[in-house]
Amino acid sequence: MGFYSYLAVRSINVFLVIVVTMALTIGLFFNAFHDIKVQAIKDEVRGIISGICRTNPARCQNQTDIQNYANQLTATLMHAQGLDKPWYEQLWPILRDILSFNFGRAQSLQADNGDNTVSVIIAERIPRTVLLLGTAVLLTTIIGLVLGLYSANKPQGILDKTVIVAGLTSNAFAAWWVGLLLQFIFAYQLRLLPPIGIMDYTIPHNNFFDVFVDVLRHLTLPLTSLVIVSVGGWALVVRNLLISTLAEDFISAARSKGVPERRILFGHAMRSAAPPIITIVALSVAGIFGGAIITETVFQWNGLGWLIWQAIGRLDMPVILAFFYISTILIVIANFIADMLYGIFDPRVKTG
Amino acid sequence: MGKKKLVVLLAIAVMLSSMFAVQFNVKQVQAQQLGPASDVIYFRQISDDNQAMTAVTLGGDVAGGTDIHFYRVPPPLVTELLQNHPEVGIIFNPQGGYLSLILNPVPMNVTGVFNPLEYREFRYGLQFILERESKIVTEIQKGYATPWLTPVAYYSYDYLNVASTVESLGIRDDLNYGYQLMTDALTKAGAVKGADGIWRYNGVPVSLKVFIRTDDPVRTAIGNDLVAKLRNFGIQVSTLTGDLLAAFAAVYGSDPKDLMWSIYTEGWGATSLVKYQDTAVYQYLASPLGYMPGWATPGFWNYANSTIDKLATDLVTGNFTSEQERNQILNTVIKLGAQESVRIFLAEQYDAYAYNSRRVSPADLVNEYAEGIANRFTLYNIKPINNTSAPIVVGVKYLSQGAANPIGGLTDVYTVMMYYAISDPGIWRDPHSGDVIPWRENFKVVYASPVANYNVPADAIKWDAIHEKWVTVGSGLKAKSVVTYNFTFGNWQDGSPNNIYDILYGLYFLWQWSGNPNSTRYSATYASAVGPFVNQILGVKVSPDGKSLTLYLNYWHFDPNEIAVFLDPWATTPWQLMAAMEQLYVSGFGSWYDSEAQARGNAWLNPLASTHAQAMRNVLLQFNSSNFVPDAFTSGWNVTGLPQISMSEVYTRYTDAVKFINTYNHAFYSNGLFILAQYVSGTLAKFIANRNDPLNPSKWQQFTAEDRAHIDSISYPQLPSYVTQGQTFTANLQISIANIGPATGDQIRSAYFLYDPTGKFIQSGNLTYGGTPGSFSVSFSTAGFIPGLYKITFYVVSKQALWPDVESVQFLVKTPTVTTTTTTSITGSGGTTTSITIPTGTTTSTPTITAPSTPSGVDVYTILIIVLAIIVVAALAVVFLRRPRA
Repeated sequence: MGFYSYLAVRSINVFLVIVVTMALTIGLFFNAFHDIKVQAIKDEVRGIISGICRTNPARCQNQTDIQNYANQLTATLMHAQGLDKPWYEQLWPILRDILSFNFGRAQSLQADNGDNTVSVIIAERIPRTVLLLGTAVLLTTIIGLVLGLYSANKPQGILDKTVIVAGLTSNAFAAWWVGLLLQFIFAYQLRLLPPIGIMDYTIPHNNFFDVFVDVLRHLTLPLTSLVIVSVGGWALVVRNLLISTLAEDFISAARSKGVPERRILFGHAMRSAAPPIITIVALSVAGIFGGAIITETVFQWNGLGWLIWQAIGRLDMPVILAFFYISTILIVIANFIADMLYGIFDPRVKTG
Repeated sequence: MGKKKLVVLLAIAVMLSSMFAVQFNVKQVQAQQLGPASDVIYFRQISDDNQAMTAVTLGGDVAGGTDIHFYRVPPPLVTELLQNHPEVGIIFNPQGGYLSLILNPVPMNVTGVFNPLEYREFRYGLQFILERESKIVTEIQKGYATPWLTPVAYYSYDYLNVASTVESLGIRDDLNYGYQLMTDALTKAGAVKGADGIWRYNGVPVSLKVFIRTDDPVRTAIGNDLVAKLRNFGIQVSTLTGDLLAAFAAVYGSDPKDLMWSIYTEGWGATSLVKYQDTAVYQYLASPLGYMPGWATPGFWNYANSTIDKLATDLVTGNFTSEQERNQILNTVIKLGAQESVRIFLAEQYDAYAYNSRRVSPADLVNEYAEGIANRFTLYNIKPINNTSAPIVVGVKYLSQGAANPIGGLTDVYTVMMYYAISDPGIWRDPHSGDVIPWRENFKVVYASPVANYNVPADAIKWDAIHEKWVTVGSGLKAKSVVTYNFTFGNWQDGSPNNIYDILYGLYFLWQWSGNPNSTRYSATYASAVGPFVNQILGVKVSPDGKSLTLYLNYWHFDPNEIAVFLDPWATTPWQLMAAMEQLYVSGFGSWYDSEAQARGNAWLNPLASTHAQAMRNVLLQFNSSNFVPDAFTSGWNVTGLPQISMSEVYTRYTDAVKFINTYNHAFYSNGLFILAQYVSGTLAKFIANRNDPLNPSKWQQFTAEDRAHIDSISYPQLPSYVTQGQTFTANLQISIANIGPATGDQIRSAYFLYDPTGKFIQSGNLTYGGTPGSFSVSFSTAGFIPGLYKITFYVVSKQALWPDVESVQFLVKTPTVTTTTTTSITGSGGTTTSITIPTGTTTSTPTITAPSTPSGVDVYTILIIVLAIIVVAALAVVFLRRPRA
């Protein structure tokens, strides 16, 4: 199979995975969605009936009449939203809407501008999460690569041992604990950095530089907490990947040819270990949109993570469903990209 | 030389006096400055309670800090703050929240399953096993609560009206007595307690399901304690746990006859202070409002007691002819409700609020006895202590959790707090007494009678929703009450005039949107919400100068002020914004209510949201360009007697509103003391002072003082003295009112409650004023009293501040002894009584702010550091102790 055929097959595969995953998700949660919407209608009707009884108690004397009125009102409202159709007739429109990124309206959450369209709410939060977690992934990758590389170059050296200890230790840390600790020390005790939020709106921002500095200050603590809990493990992974690569003959040959050490590390060893590294990075990027829920909640960073936390707390099903859909897409696409990149970097796996 | 000296002296004198004059004038100007004390106030959202308290310790002049937090301090943190943070002050609110249990009494003939809660005696027995005083108040709430037995709150004006009834119920902490009542009830019902201690009915174990709210640690503790006691009694109990959402599904959303729950732990928040508790009684005990099992849902089994429903309805609709009759109805409902025990009241919680004392003076904070310090008066009075430039930062749990439209929005306390900041009400309530106070309108109750006798003028008007025009009411109508309101108009915050047209527009809206189901301008939800009120308005009449309005009402209350506040016509939203929102509703853009928006599939109208504000702006521009005048100002207008609204005013209204929206990117404005200048959803709101508000600052400055009554001393026969049976017991009290001095009889309300040696309530009465300020007394004969230790509780409350002072003392009643001449050896000087001061028991006194000692222990950070050290050592050992490669 040629590369382009492979690409086409994988693309179809990706699409099918997305469709099947969403269909399963909707199918699993269909009853919950349906019940929540029906309950909202019943609450509305109950409020109306209660008001009628207060206004005109005589009307409520005849339970049959008032019951019939309530049933009629409920049926009308359910019909208006298509909730009276059989489940298989409701399933397809829901799936179709979701696949076309039409998630409808949130039940209680709103965007900053007041819009309760789910796609608007999510679109508003994405850049903030990308800023935080994208930066975290980038820093973690760079620092982890460098540390892993240098420690793999001198196994059992001081740096290597330090990286191992630090890696094992930081991997054990809980992100929320690190976040709270950093907040406690740097925000509340030393008062060097702000504890929560994305910006301080109480101070004037006269130009873009002011905004940049303010956001950077607010970004420091959540970013640091994410990097601390991730970099150690990442460095260990890179170290372990490279340790065997650096023991290979071609590296010894390059050294004996007098190739500068730095070029050996970054030009030869790294390239050889690139495929698995890139795969892991690609999957981490997909994790961006999982949103570090705990970190964003601790620091009140108004991104996707905090959004899903709020949506779960309020059982805002349209937002939860949309979040799962987007996460699914991104993970599947990230896998796809990782597959493609793997093929590019390692010619041995280009074709089946 | 002498002349020169004189001139120099004169010159100096002139300079000094002019400086003094300037100082004096500046102070005068400062004193007369209109508007609130602070120029700028920020609301900063901090949702995590621990972070919020840390922010208060910093202060609002430090990045991330706040000066005060408008949400209660979590009880475990109160002690920690008091002990370790001297810069933090705490203010207690005695009516912060309420705890209760709701029981499912569905009978067996409906479900086929034996339900012990079907039996009133069993439910009543639960009242005694719950141990409010020792368990809930003392142990669970750490003293920061008061036992709550009936819907009438302990810290309410009505408490003294029902105190005797409440005391006579005899509900107390008595586990054994409660178990006995429950045993008798089950035995009578045919259940049998087996040798294994389990109750069975027809061989089937008696069981209950208790839903415990686990998102509230207090309710979790109460629920677990109840479960343990029921199991101890021999009932099989299964527990359901969850938060509010789970409760909606299992409890509020289920039919009681499905028996998905038996007992649910309820919690209530306090809204603003009101004087009379009629609505609370109606809500908590009667079924029509939907707060009793079945939730007034058609098709569900609904609990109802027709007598309670009828009496509670009479209370809330004013169906009585005198205050005495009203109090009688109130007492009857209270007693019936307690006997029914379908809802069991547990405790009134104290809420603690924290502020930074370095930045804010407590003298500037107003403690409203329901909302705590989170109220409009605090916002009006608060300012930084040393008037630094750093503005006040108020921490809030959320900025907003709903929409802000004035019809179906403002449903959450957070949005309401912002609304308090930006709006002036027509009438409000004294934060300490619940008395009605005029704010932007004065009122006069011209006529009030329980019987409709007042002829409503034929030319009084109302809006006809069917024909959509103003009409005269015609002759033949008779009103119970007539109230005239005189308005203090000014400008809206967009600069446009606030006048009688806004008032009439509000009345048009009330009638139109609830009156014609066939109209596009109709909301069923709104109609059901205002239905009980709109039918009470028979008509209105506007004065020719447009500065006052008279309401003719089919409503009466023995307190004329309550008539005035029943339907306050004042408008807090300008008509141009109302008209724009109406258009958005009709066009399908949005709805007034959340449930309505869900049902209609559109947005919940929210002027706080920029997209909605832009939509309103577009509508206003359209109105402007099409010279649109609402029919509320044209249709049948001639009957109002007012001049037609001018087109120049109409244009001004539209353009000013558009300008405001363009400037601030929202449409959330009104006529109050603060303008919302900046709103960042989920983060921050910035309010700037509105110096154009016409009210004098003294109007809200007066509320910083709480004129609470205090029992300074009690003189009575203290142990080892005693009262001989048959003699008169007398106690003399010295009572004062804070900020005023010794109290007089007309300044306080008082009562005493007497309990016999078994703890049973035997009598109550009032304190007698001695004629000299501060001196009060109680006297009663002890004839017929059994010998023993009696307890007498004094309850004193000032009319200006409903926070009572309560003191209890004990005295001994002995049988008469025959005196002899024999000398008996007694300690102390013979025949005389040595006065020994024994601490008086204060079972229900207001709590003092003393922190109990905290148990010593290791905090979380220390534990985590120890764990971390172990991990590091282990890792080092693994690495450095490895055998090196050969």
